Order: sequence, then C-alpha cells, then structure tokens
Amino acid sequence: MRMRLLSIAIMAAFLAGCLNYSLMPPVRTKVANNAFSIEPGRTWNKNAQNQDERWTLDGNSLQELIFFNAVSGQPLSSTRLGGSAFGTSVIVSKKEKLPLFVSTMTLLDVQEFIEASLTQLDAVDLYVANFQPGKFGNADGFRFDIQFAYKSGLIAKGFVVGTIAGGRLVGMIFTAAETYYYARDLPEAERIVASIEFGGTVAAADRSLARAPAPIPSLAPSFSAPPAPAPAFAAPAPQTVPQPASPPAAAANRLAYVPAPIAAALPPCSSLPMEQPPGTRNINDIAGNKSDHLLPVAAPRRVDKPCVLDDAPQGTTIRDLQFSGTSARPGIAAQPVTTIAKPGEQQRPAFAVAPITASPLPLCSSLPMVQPPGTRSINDAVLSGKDGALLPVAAPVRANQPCIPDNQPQGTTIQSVISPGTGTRDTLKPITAIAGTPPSAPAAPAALPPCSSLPYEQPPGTRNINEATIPRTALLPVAAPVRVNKPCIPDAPTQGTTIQSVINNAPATGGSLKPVTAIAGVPPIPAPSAPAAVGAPPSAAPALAVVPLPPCPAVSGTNTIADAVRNPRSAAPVTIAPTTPCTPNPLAAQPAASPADAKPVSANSSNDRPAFVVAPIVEELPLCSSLPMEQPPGTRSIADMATSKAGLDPVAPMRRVQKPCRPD
Amino acid sequence: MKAWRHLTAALLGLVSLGGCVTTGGPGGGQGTSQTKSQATNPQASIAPAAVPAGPAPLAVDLARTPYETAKLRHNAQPARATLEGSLWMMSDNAETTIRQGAGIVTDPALNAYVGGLVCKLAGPYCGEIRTHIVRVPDFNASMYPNGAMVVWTGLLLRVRNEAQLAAVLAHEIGHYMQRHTVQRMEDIYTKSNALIFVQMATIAAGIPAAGDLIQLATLASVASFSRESETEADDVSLRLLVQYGYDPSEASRLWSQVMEESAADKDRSRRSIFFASHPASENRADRLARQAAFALPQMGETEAGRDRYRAAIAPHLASFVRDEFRMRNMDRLEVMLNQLSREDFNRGEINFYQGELYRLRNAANDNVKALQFYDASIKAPVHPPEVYRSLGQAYLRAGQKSDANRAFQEYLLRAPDAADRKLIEAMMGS
Repeated sequence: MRMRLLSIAIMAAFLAGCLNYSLMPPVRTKVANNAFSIEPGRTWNKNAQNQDERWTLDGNSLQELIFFNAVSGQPLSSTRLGGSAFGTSVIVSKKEKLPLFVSTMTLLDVQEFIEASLTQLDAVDLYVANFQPGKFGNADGFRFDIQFAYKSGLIAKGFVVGTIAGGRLVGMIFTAAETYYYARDLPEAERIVASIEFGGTVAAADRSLARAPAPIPSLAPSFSAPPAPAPAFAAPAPQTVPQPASPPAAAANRLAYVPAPIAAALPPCSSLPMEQPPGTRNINDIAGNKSDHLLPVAAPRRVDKPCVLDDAPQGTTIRDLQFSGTSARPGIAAQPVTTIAKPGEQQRPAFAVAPITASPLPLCSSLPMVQPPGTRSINDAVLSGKDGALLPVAAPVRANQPCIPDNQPQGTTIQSVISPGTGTRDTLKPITAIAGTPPSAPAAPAALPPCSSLPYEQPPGTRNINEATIPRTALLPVAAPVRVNKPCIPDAPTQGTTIQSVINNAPATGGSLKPVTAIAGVPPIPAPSAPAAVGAPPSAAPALAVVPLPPCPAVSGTNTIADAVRNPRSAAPVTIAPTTPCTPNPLAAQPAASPADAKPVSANSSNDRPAFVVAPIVEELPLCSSLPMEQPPGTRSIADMATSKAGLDPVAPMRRVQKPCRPD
Repeated sequence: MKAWRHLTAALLGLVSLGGCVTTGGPGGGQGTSQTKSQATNPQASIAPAAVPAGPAPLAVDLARTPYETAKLRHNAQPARATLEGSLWMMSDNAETTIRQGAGIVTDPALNAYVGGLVCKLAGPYCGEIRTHIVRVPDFNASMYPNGAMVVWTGLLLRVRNEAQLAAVLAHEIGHYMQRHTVQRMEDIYTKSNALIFVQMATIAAGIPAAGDLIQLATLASVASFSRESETEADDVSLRLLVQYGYDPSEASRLWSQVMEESAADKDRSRRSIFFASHPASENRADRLARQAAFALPQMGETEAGRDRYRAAIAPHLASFVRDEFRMRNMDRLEVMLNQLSREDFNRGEINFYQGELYRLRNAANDNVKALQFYDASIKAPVHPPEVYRSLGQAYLRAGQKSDANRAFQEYLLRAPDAADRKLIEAMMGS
C-alpha cells in the first residue's frame, strides 16, 4: 500500500512538470521578451517557461520555433530541443555546461556558440550549412541551416536567423522533423521570418502602406520606426532552402498590392508535401480526436500549390492535369498559372521553362515506421513517456511520404494503392515522372559458400561435452557439433556438381550427376541438345553425342554431410566422394569403349538405359527456401511456456524440414 | 506487491543493463587473494627480485584459456520464464533502442575494426557478441547480458593502441562469459526496494549524449558490478591479452592515463562516472601492473599494435574531438590533448585542437597560448585548413585585423567550398 502511494506521488511529481501551452492566433505578436514581433499565418501553441519561449503546432519534436534573446553572460536557451524524454528535465540544469553568450562575439563566434548550445540542448550529430549574412527584420543579421537528430534518432532540419544588436543576441530557430513536417511547415516558418519587425505592434491599417525602411537597426523598446515593406528573407538563395517553398507568395498574400512575380522555378509537383484533405481523416487515425471517428476516411493528397508537373512543361499546375483527366497532354503549352490564384488576386504568369529532374522516390516498403502523433506505442510502458500514459495506444504506421509501391508498376502513387478503385480520377492517375528511373535489374544469385566454410553448430537438443557444469543442460545428451545445414558447394567435387548429388549419392540414377552449372558459376558444360523423354521416337540419335562418365571408385566407411546432419552422434568422419563426375550406377559402370558404342535411347531400352539421359533431377526438387519450418523432434519452441506438456523439452529454434531440395 | 517487484526488475533491466559501467574495477578486493596467490605460486615469490623497481607480480592462472572456464555456454538461450531470460529480453529491447538511436556510429570500417577485435578476443563466443559504437565523449564500454557490447567513442579517443583497446574489450567479454550481469541483477532483484525504483525511474532510456552524464553517474552507482566480478573480469582480460600476444602492461598504462585525466576534472558529478564502481582505482592500476609483471616473463614476443590502431582511428579523430569540445569540460580536455600530443601522432591536427581549447576557454593568457599552438600546427606538414580560420579569430581577438584577414584569406584559399565562406567574406569586409 505504501508502495502504491509512493508511486502515485512520483507520478504526480512528474505530471506537475507538464508544460502549459497557450494558443497564439495569427496576429502580430511580440516574442522573445518583446525583442521583436512576428505575424504567423496559423495558430500556434506557445509554451513559455524559464524565460524561454517556444512555439509548436503538433508537438515540440515535430516542429518548434525557439525565440532567443540573450544578453552577455546568458545561455542561448536552457530548454531542451523537442521537449524532453521521460525522466530528464526539460530545463537544462546548471551542472550541464551551457555555453554563455558574450556580447563581443564575432559572427564566427556566434556560429560556434549556437552550435555548442544546440548540442548541449540534446541535438545529436548536428550539421550546420549555408552560413551567410542576411537581414533580420531590418537589421543586419545572419542565417544558417541546421540538421541534427534527436536522441531517439528522429532527424530534424531547420534554420537559425538572428542578429547581434545592443549587446544582445536575438533571433529565432526553426526545427521540424525531416519527415513530412519540415516540408510542410517551412513556408510558414519563412513567412514568420519575413514578418519579423523590431518595435511594437503595428496598427492594422498601417500595414497596407509601403513605407521607407528604417535606416538604423535598434532594439530599444522606444523604437517606433515603421517596418520595411519587403520581407527580409523573402528571396533566399536556392541553396539555402533545400525543400521547395514559396515564401514570396506567402508574403505577397500579405501585401496584396506588391506585384511580386512567382519565383522563377516552381517546385516539381512530386516534391510537394502530402496533406490530409480537410474534413477527412487518415485511415490510420483511429484514436485521435473523438469527432474524427465520424469523418470519412480519405487518402492523403499533395498540397494544392503551384508546381511543375514532372513530365509537363513549366507553367502548368497539378490542377490543370487533374481536371483535364489525362496524365500526359503532349500538346500542353506553357500556360500561366490561373487556377491557384484567388479571385481578385492578380494573376501572375510563370514563365520559367527550366527542366526539373525528379529525384527517384523511395520504395514504400522502405519508408520508416512512425508513431502517429498523439498516440503511443503499445510497448511504451506507463512510465515511458512524459505524457505517454495518457495517450491512446495505436500501431505505428509508415511515414506519410510520396513513395513507389513495391509491387506496383512504376508510375503509380501510394494513393492509387491505398484507395484502389474507390478514388477519384486523380488518385488513380499515374504520375509517370515520379518513377524517374527504370526498375533495377534483379541481383545475380550469390555464389554458394564451400561446404568446408560453413560454421559448426551444436545439434538442437544436445549439449557439448565441455558443458557439463550448467545444471540446466546437464540432462541433455552429449553430441559433437556438426556443420550448419545450409546450401553449399562440396569442396572436393568439381564445379558443376550439386550438393544433392553428393548428399544423396544417388545410387540408381546417373542424373544426380547432371551438371548444374548455374550454381557453380562456371561456363555450362555442353549438354545434350534435348533430354530424351520416355516415348520419344527411337530415331533420336543426336542424344548420344555425350561421352559417358567413368565409373565411380568404390567408397566405403564414409559418411556424408547429410548423414552427419541426420545423425549427429555418428563419429565417422564426413568424406566427400567422388572427387570427379562419375557414374555410380553399376550398369553404366561398364566401360564404354567409345562414343560410338552408346546405344540409342528408346522406350524399349529401359533395362540398359545410358546413365546420361535422364530427366533433370535438380529441377524437380523443391526450392530449399520453400520447405516448411518444423520444430525439431524432442525440443520445444521458446514460446511454449513451461506450463505446457512440452515444457520439459529443451528450447530449440525452428528449422526447415530436412528433405532433399534445390539451393535457391 | 509481487507485481511491483517485477516492474522494478523490468525497469532495472531496461534502463540500466547497458549502462553497467565496467571499464574498471576496484583493486581493493584482492588483498587476501594476493597473499594467497603469492604464497602458493613459486614464481610470484621469485618475481620481486627479478623486477626490483616494479610492483610485486600477481599470479594469474595462464594455463587455461578463459573460454575453458567460462560460466556461460555457447549460444545459450535462457528460458523466457527465468530471470535471466527476462533480462535477455529487456537487453534485446535496450539494444534495439541503441541501434536505432541517433548516436550510433555507422562507419563500416571502424565497426569492422572494433567488431573484428571483439570477435578475435571472444574466440568461440564471437558469433554471440554484437558490438555497437556510440558517439558519447567519455571513457566507457559496457556489456549487456544478451551479448550486446556498447563502446563509447570517448573510449576510442583515449585508447592509444590496439593492446589497450583489447584490454578493455576483453574485460567486457569477461563480464559476458562469466554472467556477471545476471549475478548482479539477481542480487538487486532480491534487494529491490522503492529507493532503487525511484533512482532507476529517473534515468532516461535511450542514447546517452552530452547531457546525460549525470544520469549515467547515478546509474553507475546502481548498476556497477561487485568487486569480485571486476577482479574476475580483469583476470579474463589479462589471460586473453596473453593468449593473443598483446603487451599486458598496456592495461595499467591505460588506467593511469584515464586517472590523470579524471583528476583534472573539477566536476564531481562527472568524475563519479569513473569512480562510482571503482572506488579504489589506484589499487586497480597497481593490480593490473603486477599481473602484467607476472605474465610478461612467460610470454614470447608481445605487440601493442599502435600503428594499426592509429590507422583505424585517424579518419574519426576530428569528429571525436569535436564531440569532446561540445562537452566544454576544458580542464579535463586539456589533460587529454596533452596526452595525445605526446604521442607524436597527427601533430598538426592535435596542435590545432590544443589551440582551439585555449581559444574557446579564453581565460587569461589563453589567446596567446592559442596563437602558439596554431603556429605549431601550421608548421607541421599536414594540418587542417580550419586552423587558418581559428588563427584569424585569435588575431581578431588580439586586435590584429590585418593578420586576421590574411589568415581568413588563406582559409578560403584552402577550403574554397567552406560552408561559412560568405560569413568569412563578410567579416573580412567589415
């Protein structure tokens, strides 16, 4: 009882650490301790504690805006990236050495400072790139891209923008999970960067007027100069933003009178992120918001934005093709984007005709599994996550990314597989440019290892003679280790024999010696033009053009590998014989004087049929990999609990049924 | 109440099995065994005269290989209903977390080298041990009962040659072959109480990175092996070193290096990572040295494998040291870099790191030291281009703007594709 009370107290203590979030509507808002203001395009969740201000849409590790405002002697932030794992404090303690900002830092020092800070805030494998000077609001600042992994392995991307002014380092960090969220939220982040203004809240009426930019950057609270009309980071260099985005469009929406042309290169349609259509739910979402249960299931679709179809000329939109009903309109000309522009908005032609090369999509089966947001894995124990205990259990789903279904022809999309037959035209429409690359040729079969290279193993249900001291195994019979039972090439026989020919040592049919050249990888030995079938015309004389094999030398007192496998207790050494292709059939062992002595094959001559004309055995055998699995006799599966009758048997892994078979 | 016990055991296994800090063991426990072995072993009683200046040798049974005396049979698969079986299952889970985590080192060459060495030392147990290298800038390796070995990159940076690495790895293999984790967990299981539950619950599962060292220290105090286990693993280590012809004296040398570095660490909570399970480490270094003095006369030619080790580690030196810098434990790092610089190994690179240390620490007179080390690095035949960028920063700090600009120019000349090119150009212009 005391234990239970203690545990409740512990749980309460942990829950008390849960963060409080408040909604931030899309209006101009002061952030970073009033250092500057931004105007988001969506409603965000704000979490502020310990002087650190963080915004997120879906959860801190999925996307996060971190606003910082550090004076000399302060760390950049003391809140861990992406919230925290269970048991670790969200706030970094003073014992963990957070680097401190010094107001005399150069830009290079600042880069190092931010890099070291992010690492201390749990960014693993941090890479920075594209460090460059730029505008922050109307001040001179810097910007660089970051990529790192959370400790869980989740990869995140983002950027840092900031400036040093008035002895303070102010700025914003945007991070988002590389999968799905980065591409989805980057435009919003860019929009926020573009909206950065120093000073106070700006009257709504003033925003529609273009004014001269403030000449001097200042962070003083009394600063009241009007903001610059053009967004500071509106047109980042292409290499700055690896994912396609149209921040200028977002900015232009805000300032409708600016006739900003669409950026020269539209992103390829195949690179646009996927989204769930409004009013629908994903088929995987079973435990989210209760009202979601009532929504119809629908497949995700690409976001509806101006883009260039991968196989169509620049200037067409994905909608053009969706509405036109066919995928490839050969005569389609570069036409202005009109469908996307909202009524009353100025129509903006797009003229670029630069060819876009679509990168090949990954196979759907190669996409990583992710836990749906707002759920927890069934494996997460009650205490395994900060909020995990309260989340509903749900199975992981594949990451929601564009991909190529594995068993579908190139050119189909995941939508066409998710909703076969039920979808609208566009879901079933092939998008041929996605595939890009032809399917790769199947890999050549790997050569089998030599039998002598196979490792030894203890036969199941036995124990090694050296292991007598462990009580658990003391009752098992002692047996010598044997080689593992895997397809291999016997060492001594020449290339071209199969293991079956040696294992079976087939006494009656010479067919076991039939060369199987594909396994050994040597050039095929010239074979009879066609195996003579029973009932073939007696006049099939060409089938004789083969030199009969010499008789095998007598072998006695040896064991085969197969014998050893079947009877591990046998002490006889394994001997592979014969060493050259030969004919063990005593009938055929009679020396043939010359090829001319060989008799024609006919249905009547079954009594003395030549050893070399038989149906190929190898092809009749089943594939080894197709043999069913079985529990070795006298053993039990590890899954069989001790309560069952089999509980007294030793545990052993399943193995394939031991029958002659053809190596794959 | 029984359910609580199971939960406690489960938590223990999940979060702590891999964290068993096992790179060393106390030497304090060998007092009686030492006198006993000296009394029974004639060689031991002779040896002090043969090695007058060194420590008195300590006998180890070298007649049999550790494989012959191992308590774990090959390919053992404990029944799931047993405590050992459930420990294995939890270890499997923990191993999966480590494998999928962000800190795992995937470089095939390094994995092949370390994994190959583990395989060689493990002998017949090779196929059962999987080695995972994790990016944590501290000195540690750990062994899970299911055969998962975790090696921290900080260990690879602090080890000087293959013999030293082999000493640590063989020690861990010793824990595995002797089933020490199971013994330890059985012990904890019988004594489990709410205190341990609270302690373990505060330890985050997952990949230990820079910020987790305090938790790891807590964990070490809970999950350390007993002194007897450590001594036994040390014996296995020595016997394996002898068997494969490695210089056994490297084990005590490594321990001395780590102690020197640890003594410079002012952070008590971090020091406990080393000493939570090794309260008498001086004794341990002494014990290892005496064992080596016993074994060396009985060995033929020994090797340290220094060049082989350097070749394997050289491509990763930069990233390992960068991780160390991000820990910002400059005093400890200073000792370690001084040790590295005495090795006559990649001098241009090591001198650069030493300069970086002083530039980043930026205490009194540190900028002058930094400039001196950058100068030394540039005089070495091979040095990284970044030394010129850092030189420029140090010059800027010293107020020598024109010198700084020349250094930056040289940097851009040598690293034309540098990610910070635009930034440097802006700094030169301003």
